[in-house]
Amino acid sequence: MKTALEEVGAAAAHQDVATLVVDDLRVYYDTPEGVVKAVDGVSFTLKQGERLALVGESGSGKSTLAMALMRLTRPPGRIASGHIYLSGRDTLMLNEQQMRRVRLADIAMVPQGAMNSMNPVMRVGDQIMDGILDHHENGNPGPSREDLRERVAALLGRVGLSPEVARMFPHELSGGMKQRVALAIATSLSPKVIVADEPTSALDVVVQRQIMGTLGRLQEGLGAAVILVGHDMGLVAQFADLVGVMYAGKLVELGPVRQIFREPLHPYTRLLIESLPDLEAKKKFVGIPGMPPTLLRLPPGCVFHPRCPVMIKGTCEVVVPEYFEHRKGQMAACHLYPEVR
Amino acid sequence: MPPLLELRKVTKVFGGGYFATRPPLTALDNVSLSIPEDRPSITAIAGESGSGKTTLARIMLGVAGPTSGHVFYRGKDVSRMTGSERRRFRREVQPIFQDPFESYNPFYKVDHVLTTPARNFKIGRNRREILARVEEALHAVGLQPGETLGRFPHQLSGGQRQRVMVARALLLRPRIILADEPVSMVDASLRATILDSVYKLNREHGISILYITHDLTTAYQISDNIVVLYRGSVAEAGSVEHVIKQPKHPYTQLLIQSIPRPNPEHLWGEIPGRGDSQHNGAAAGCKFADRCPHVMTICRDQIPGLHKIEEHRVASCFMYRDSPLLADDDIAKVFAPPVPMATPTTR
Repeated sequence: MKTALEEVGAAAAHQDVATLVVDDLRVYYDTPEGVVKAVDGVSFTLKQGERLALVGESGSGKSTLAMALMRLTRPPGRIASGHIYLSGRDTLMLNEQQMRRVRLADIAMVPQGAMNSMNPVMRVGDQIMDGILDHHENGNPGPSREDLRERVAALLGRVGLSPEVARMFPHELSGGMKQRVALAIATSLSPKVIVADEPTSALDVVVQRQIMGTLGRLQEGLGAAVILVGHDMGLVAQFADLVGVMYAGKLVELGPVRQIFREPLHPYTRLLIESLPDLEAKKKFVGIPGMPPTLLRLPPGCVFHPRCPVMIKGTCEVVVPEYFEHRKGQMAACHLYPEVR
Repeated sequence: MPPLLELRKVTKVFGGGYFATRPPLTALDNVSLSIPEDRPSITAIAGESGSGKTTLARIMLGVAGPTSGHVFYRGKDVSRMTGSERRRFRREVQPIFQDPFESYNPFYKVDHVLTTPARNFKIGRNRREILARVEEALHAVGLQPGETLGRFPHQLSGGQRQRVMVARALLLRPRIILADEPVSMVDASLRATILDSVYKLNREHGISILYITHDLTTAYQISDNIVVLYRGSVAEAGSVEHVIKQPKHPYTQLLIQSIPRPNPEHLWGEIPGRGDSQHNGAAAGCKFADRCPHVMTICRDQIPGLHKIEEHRVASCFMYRDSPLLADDDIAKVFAPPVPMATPTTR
């Protein structure tokens, strides 16, 4: 079966057949005060089945990046430059009609606060069918009513819900059940990439753990890559294989989850991890000094230098650090680690 | 000496009545808790959504009345206070709310939330005195008055806005602060700073804190004692060292196991039991019975009382029925005394 990407005839422009390659992506917002660089030169590669967590404070650009991956950036935002290669094809080259066929089928999103993402006057089953039917336009006869009902029941079963849920309205479901429905919709066409933007932020811990378990099993079954956007470092540690740390629109560090928690390279990552309270022992409250910068007036040099405890005078406030692989698979943009070739 | 604030057998029922389409919901079920006057401490009220923790806070603040039971402040029933007693209650019991955005009127400068209560409660005799008090309160929470006053709410970060709210509470020199999820909408890197200022309100200014949260990790970090609520009832209560480090109630155990630890070496196991709590109000017996991995026959028919398992812990569970029942249900009786601030809390 051809993927939606192949159907729309997108040319394979990238030799690397990694599931997702983001190359120097820039997303800007045009505001009356000037251009806000919400995502500023982000690059990363994701292989089949990998789980990447994008973490950062609010305003770091992680949700803007997630929306850009779906090509759902809305004015005043715009994708200024860069490439997003999905199975080797650049989605930024597609027109809106083509992109519509790629969304859900190749790259799908589990939205932030799924409770508010559903149509309140439409039955759950119809909402799941909606996406499936939309991808059967263009003269295709599409599946029969009976087929569809079976597919919906199977999708609900896969996320741990009974087939009866199809006949219910969103207000009849608990928060956890709604989130499961959102997972069923996102995986209904077996996408290659699932973008989950804080999928459990409004849920209780016990339900959160079950939903993340379901997402993990679904993803493994589909062999899809997952991008988990969030700021809960606990969830990240539990779920991700890779962690990308965003600060002021830039990816400042990216690496395997154990490396990031054990030996973070970037001082921001280190402070972020040290600031986390844990259950092991009562400890001092250590926050990160200062405040995240306003994206309109970014500091020169390294964007983190005004808050950095190990700032190198004469370098950090002048030179923008290059983003390099300093340890195997672990990238960082920081002057502490001179470029090794 | 009567306790500063006391809930005595408080029950709150929502709904019901002749035209109700749904059965009434018991949000709070016979809870007794007292906050002593002489020993300022931090008590966490923890639970998932629907556990009744916010209802408890609203009743303690006097903005909602109990369906049955009583709330006393300095020995006076809050529902029968005289004007001047009520005024004192309103000044001495202060809230900090969850959302640092909605607590502000966007058309006023942040000064407004500080100077208005200061004037209402006559914190200073004139403008200059009030300003001095406002600046003092801002300094106490680690804010620079010069960088805070004269600005509009949208010009401050979420963390700053929430710290202004902590300063506002402090300004009125209260005896008790009820902080309802004060850090849940603030970024992780700024949470520590806010929790630190809340901690100092207690340890340095002698204000008792009720920290209402779903987050057991921060509850453990700042509290002396904790009350774990499940569907309106106390499941387990006592010192955080007992309840969080070695939970005894099956519900507390499930909660603690479900916390995503920020440590990839210490991964979640598989999930025991069912996750969602269902409000089937009519069920007799223990409310946790349908989710409990240790459920016994007795759990389905009888409601467990509060068993005092250790000096500083009670649990409402039949597994501990050999331990004595807590006399008159006031869970504060088992609370551990606050540990003095041994180490400085900031860098």
